[in-house]
Amino acid sequence: MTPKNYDLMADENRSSHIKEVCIFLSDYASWLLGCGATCIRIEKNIRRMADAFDTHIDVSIMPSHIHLSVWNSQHTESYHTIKRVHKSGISFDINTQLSKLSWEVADGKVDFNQAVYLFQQVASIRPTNRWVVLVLASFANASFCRLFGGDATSMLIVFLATLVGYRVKQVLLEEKADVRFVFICSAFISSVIGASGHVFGWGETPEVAIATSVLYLIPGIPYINSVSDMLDGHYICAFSRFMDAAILTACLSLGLCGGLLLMNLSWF
Amino acid sequence: MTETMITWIVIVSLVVVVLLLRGIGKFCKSYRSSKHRVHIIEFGSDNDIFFCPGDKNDDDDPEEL
Repeated sequence: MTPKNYDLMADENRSSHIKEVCIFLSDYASWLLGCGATCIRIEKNIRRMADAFDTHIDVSIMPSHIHLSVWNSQHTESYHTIKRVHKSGISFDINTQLSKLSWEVADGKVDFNQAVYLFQQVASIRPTNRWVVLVLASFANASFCRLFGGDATSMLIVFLATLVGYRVKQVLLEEKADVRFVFICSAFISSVIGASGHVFGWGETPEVAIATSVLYLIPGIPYINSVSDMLDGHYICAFSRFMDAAILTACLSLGLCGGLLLMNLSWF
Repeated sequence: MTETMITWIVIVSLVVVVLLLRGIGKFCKSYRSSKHRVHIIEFGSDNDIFFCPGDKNDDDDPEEL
């Protein structure tokens, strides 16, 4: 084999490495965006790993896509990809595991092939059991009721309102119903059950029970992420996340108002 | 009993009944599709009832014994 052939093979290997890194990083970024990470975290994580793989990156994060360009260290070769966001649902567990992976790569504990393997392991994490989530969300909402000054009866009402409303949400989402319709239905049912204190005269703080019965539906993470993205200058993502959250909040309000109207409760 | 109470009871009952019926339906579906069905009462043959491990079974293939 001539020296020229060796050069060609080396060039091919370098191109292949850039391509593999680009595909891996775009997959990684789409998972991170899908599980509810902020734009600044996505940028920092993939830049950290790209540096460890001896490459340079340019990334553009859109509300539903990732545009990624990976360059070799001499800036002579590049590979570009556009990856659609992976809709895995918000998951702090996946978010944490992916961030941990980026640090392991950056610290040199994990090479490229191991990183790909570990990423596949993280991608296969099953979501938390829905029954556990249902019960924990109900307890969390009952605790909110206590924080806002609700008594034990109101806490019990909020627990049951959340239990039924959240179950309705799970069932409708399993049936692939529109998420806005799901929010209206869940808020309506939770507010009707939350109004039982007023209707039957149970407890001393029925108004706290009504107000906190729908709190589990507030899209808090999209709101927080939109502020974080705005501060970081990712205005398109920030606006997109804010609008998504605002629409869901409007649906929640619609369901709550419907429940209050039906229970003959005045607004103010 | 006021009109609001009746409305509340109707709505909550409907939701609870729908959720329960769906749950029972799913349970029955998974029960029917499961391989290891548990029969509380069933008619079995004498061989099944009085079979002890090691007994000769007429259905066994003599080639495999």
